[in-house]
This record gives sequence, structure tokens and C-alpha cells, in this order.
Amino acid sequence: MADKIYDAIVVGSGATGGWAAKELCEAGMEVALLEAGGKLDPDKDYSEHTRPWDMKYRNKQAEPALEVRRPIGARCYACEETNAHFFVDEVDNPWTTPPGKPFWWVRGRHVGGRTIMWGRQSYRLSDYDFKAASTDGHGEDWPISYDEIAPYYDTVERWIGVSGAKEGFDQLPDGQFLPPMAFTCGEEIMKKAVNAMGRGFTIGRCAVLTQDHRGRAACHYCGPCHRGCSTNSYFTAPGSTLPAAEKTGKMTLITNAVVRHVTTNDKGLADGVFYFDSPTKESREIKAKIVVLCASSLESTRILFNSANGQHPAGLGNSSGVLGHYLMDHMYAIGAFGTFPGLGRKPEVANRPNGIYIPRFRNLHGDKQEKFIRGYGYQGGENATVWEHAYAMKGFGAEFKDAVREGNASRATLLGFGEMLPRWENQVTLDKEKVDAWGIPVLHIDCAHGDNEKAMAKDIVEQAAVMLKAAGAENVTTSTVPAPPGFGIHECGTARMGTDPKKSVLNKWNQAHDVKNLFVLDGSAFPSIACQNPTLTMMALTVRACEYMVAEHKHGNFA
Amino acid sequence: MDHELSRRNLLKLTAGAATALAGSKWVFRATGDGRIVKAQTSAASVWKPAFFSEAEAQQLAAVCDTIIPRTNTPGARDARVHEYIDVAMTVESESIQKRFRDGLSWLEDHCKKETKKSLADASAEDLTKLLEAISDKNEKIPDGLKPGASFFGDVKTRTLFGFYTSREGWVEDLGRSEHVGMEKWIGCPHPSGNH
Repeated sequence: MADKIYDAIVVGSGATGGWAAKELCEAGMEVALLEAGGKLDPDKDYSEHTRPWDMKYRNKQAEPALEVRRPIGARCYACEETNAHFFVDEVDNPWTTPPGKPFWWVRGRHVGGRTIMWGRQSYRLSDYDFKAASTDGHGEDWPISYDEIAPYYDTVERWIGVSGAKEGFDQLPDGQFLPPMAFTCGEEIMKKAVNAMGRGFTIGRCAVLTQDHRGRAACHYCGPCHRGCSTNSYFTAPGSTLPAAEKTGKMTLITNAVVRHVTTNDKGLADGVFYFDSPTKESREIKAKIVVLCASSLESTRILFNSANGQHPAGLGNSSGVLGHYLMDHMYAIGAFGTFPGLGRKPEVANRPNGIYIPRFRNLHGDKQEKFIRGYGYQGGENATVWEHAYAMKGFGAEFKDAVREGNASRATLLGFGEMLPRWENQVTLDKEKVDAWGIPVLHIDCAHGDNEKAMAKDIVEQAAVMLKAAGAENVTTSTVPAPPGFGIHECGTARMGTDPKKSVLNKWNQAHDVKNLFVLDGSAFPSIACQNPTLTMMALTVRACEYMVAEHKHGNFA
Repeated sequence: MDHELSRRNLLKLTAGAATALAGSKWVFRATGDGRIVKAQTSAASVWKPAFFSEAEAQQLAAVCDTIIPRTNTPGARDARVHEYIDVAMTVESESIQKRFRDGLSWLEDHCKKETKKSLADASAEDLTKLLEAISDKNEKIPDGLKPGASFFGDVKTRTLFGFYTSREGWVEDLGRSEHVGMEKWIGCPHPSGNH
């Protein structure tokens, strides 16, 4: 075992790590898959069917002992009473920020990573995104075009199962969809009004099955996906890609392996990784011909910084000095709310695990904003309350109780996801003093929204209210202050890909310019973040990079 | 109120489950064949408050049960809403704990002044009168009752949450399924566009 040299080591078992393991193993390669956390047990850890009355705090919060170790994670909507342990222990895994510049970093350390708690929204990027820099002059184009990635989007969608409606939006290309979920009454009303303004409006494209798919059962609409799914009805790595990798007999899964750095040989090539066994804190090394980082944007970047050595003084793959720069996240938690009067109905149960999507309409199709470049999309929807309207009802007693049972209120939401520009000064470095529970230097994250984001945020809020009002919504209120960066949980950009080795860390195959047998297959590769949720694109890039890796491996180019 | 009828209704609805009536040493169990078995609770199952004193807990139970009373469906006392509020209080900040406790104490004093009885012993009529004076429905609350009005908002919000997230509230009052999930998501059922 100690002397074994794997064909590839994959670090991280989430959305991209699972795909890398599957693709490489299915091509016949021997893969060691390292995961910093342990395995979740669906029988024990998944709790999507637990009712509030069976929870001590009725799902208002988790045990204080759990919350105190994940103060940022506990703010995430998906962190609940029964699943708080899906979120990383921030005492063991700290990071630092400059005073007054918070970065809310939300992670999971277990097999499957954030695919267990993710929002499942799955959108394609288009050439408006891949070639954005050519259009408005900010940043760099992606080194690939839509045509080059489209077949890999197809592959990923066909495998994971994405439900959605074909619309023909050129800024949000259609995919290989399972049947779409239905709109609610209020959403039908909103769609009419938004379409009348010349804007698109579609049902969310989400990695939730609307019919049985590849041995996984169709969704049964119980609601809280982020607590785990006993029927694997939304895409997770442990429910989909990892079993496929395991089936090949080529995968060695090593859990509780906290990777510190990539090791290199005398030629400057990667030859393995150095990690700690999490519970014992004993150090170990394993060797391979290729090292593939899928640890999430910031963790992969951290590993590259911690891999600095005599041959790679500024961090592995960082001869350009670009590593750690251009951090981005989606602007999040801004938009508008309202109610639609007179929708006389009770919801069956308010638990469709999906919402609506309004694709970008700013700075394209003839629209030109003076105060900001790029654009944003909206997510949200409308549903009726079962009892929550009681909070706004006056009085008490028997009549009040009857009125709650008979009544309902419509609740509509539009929340923007705004594209953040890649800017040099939004960066991560290694903190010079602080280390994590394994003695590994942690990240110092210095990131803030700039003028473009602030101007865009204002427009996001205004237009959300305009559209709700146009649809006839009443009691329209707004949320005007974006959450701190990080809380969109779409962090990207710190090891970007590009054609110029002086301006990028990776080439168009997610391969380090400096180290040909080192690949980084997560959001860190994004030269720009677009406004669509990034996970589908990360997975498509992974499949594409693995195809290249397999071919190069067969030709002996990594030997 | 016809207590026998209500109780029978309640127990029928909770068939198979045990319903411990707060403040009672009795537990009523509905058996599978529809019979009702009344038994003394074991010492271990007697509820003890974690945050409130025993006296406060009984005062709170009376207030919650006035906000959501038992009708032909269970009320807040049946749903043990005060027990939930007690647990929730243990993890609140000290200032919120103090605000709630002071509010309850104000109402208890006020009740004694008005009725010569504790909230825990006051009649349903008296409790209703007390709460009407400080209710959010009352647009002219005199300054002297303002502390009560603020407590009313606090205890009402917590009672509503505690009741409608209880099995009694969700299943028996609202008539919703105790199970989750459905075969198909229907969405808007009005293809005509008349929502």
C-alpha cells in the first residue's frame, strides 16, 4: 500500500470530485479519492421527514452546542436543527478577514461535500458570459466558448437529471431536461406580467427528478432537500456519481483525509499529496501520476498556497502570481416580497423543492445600463401559507383559531443573484499566524463588493419591486442590503483559467500552466462568475477536463 | 363547553398516541379499537419546566390556552405549547428571557388585582377579559396596560408557532397529514387562468 502509485489522486468528493472519480475510474484508471470528512449514513443522518413536533426546538434552531461551533454556517437557510452537523466546524476550520470586511464561508466536510445541502439550481452559461470581457472590457474572456462546453453540459444533465422547460433564451441555453415542475397560481400571474415587459420567466431548472431516472426515484415533494434525501431524488455525489465510480472497482476512497499540500518531485511535477488522518492527526502521504484538486474553490487554492516549495516559491502553479486573486461570489439576499390578493386556495403542501427563474435582461438584447456592467437573474416564486398568516391576524380565541384554519395568504418573492466582477484586490492569501486544528495555515480572505456591485444591487431591488407590482402584488417590501460575500455560497475565481500563463493559473483544460500533471476542477477556475448558479458548469468542466486527462494519460504524457 | 364531548373528540383524533394533559397526573390513552384508557402517569413522565418555575409554567399554560383554546379541536394546553415555550426560552438571550418573564409577571400581578386569582386559577371568562384589554385588536390601550400589550404580542407569536408546529395543531386542528410528501406536484389547478 505504502508504495502504491495511483494513476490519479482526487482531493474532495463533492460535485466535481465525484464526477472526476467516476470519469477517471470508468476510463480504467486507479483513483484514490480523498475526503476531509467522514461518510454520512442516510439512515442516521438524513432527516427530511422529521416533523417539527419531533424536534426539540421545532426546527427554529439547532442545539446551542452545535451552533456555537458554526456561527456562520448556522445562518444559512439550509442549516437546521437536525442537519447542523452537515456544516463545517468553524472552530476546527477557521479563516480570517480584515476588520469590517466579513466573508461568510459556508462549507461541508463529508463524503459528497455540499451536494448534500446544495440548492440544486442548474443553469448553463452562454457566450454572453464566456465572452463577457470582449463585450465590456472588464477582466478576461474564458478560454473556451459555449460550443466547446455544450456537449459536456449534455452529458452532465443526462446523468444527474435536471428538470426544466425549454425556452430558447439565448442567454440561458436550454439543456437535456426532465419534465418541468408546475407553476403555482401566483407564478402564472407573475409570468404574464414579466413576459409583458419583454423579460423571460421560467420554472427553475433543478437537479431534482420529476420522473424515475437511472435507478433513482422521482421526487416525492416532501420539501427540505437539504436535510438529505432517502430516495436520492436530487443529485448528490454519494447518491449518483460515487456509486458509479465504486462499481468499477478502481476507486479507493480515503475518508477523514485532511490534505495539507501537494508534493512534487525533482522535475517540479506533482507526485502525490501529504495529508493528516483527521481523528489521529497522524501525517500520511500517497503518490500518484496525476493530482486533481476538487476541494472547492478556496480549499483548493489554500492547498496550492500551502504546497509552496523551493521550485514553486509562491505556491504551486503560481508563477503568474494570480493565484488567490479575483475572488467572486454572487450578490445574494436582495430583492422584493409581496402578496397576491384573492387567490382563494390552500396549498396542498408548500414543498415544491424549486422556484422560478427570471434570466438576465440587463446589458444585453439592446439594454444598456449606465451605472453597471453585466447583469443578474432572479429566483423566487409564490405560494400560499398554511397557517403563517396567523401572525398578521389580530385577536385570539376560538373565532381566531377558526379563521386561521380557513384563511391563507399568498407570499411572493423575487431575489436577485448578481454577477460580481473579478477584481485583483478581492483575494485570499495564507494567514501568517493562524492554523487549523491540524496545524495547517488558514486563509485570510479579503473581499468586498465594489461600485459595480452596489449600482447593480440597487437595480436588482428596484426591478424586483417593479415586476411584483406590475403583476398586481400588494404589500410589496424590499431587502436592500446584500449579504456579505461568501453567503451566496458560489465562491469562484481564485485559480482562474486562461490562455495566457502570465495572467492565469490554469489552461483551458483546467490544467496548471506550470505543472502539467496538476488539475484544479472546481469554481476556482472561473475567469468570471456570470449570474447563473455555478455547479452545473463546474461539473461540465470536470467531465471535459477528465476526457483530456484520460487521453493524455493513455499517451503517457504524465509519465 | 362540553368537556366530555371535546375530550372524546380529542382522543379519537389522537388514537394510538398518548395525550398527557398538562398539570394532570392522568394520561389518557386511546387504544387501537377506539377505547380510552385512563391511567396515572408514571413519575418519570411528569413534566418539569426547565426555564420557568412551576407556578409560572401554569400561568403561561393558562394564557396560551386562552389564545388558542380547545374547541372541537385541541387547544394550546392539549398541544403542550407552554412546554415548547419553556424549552425555547432556555436558549434565548438573557434580555429576551427577562422581557418574557417580566411580561408574564406583570400579567399575573394584573390578574390578581383584577380577579383576586392567579392566571393559573382564573376562569376562562376572566382570562379572555384580561387579554382583550391588551390584545392587538384593541386600538385604545391605556398607558397603564402598555407592558401587557407588549407581552401579548410576544406570547401570542410564540403560542401560534408552538401550536401550529405541534402534531395537535398541524394534524388535528389544520387537518393536514402527519406524513410528508405527495405523489405529484400539482401547482396551479386553474388552466382557465381564473386563479
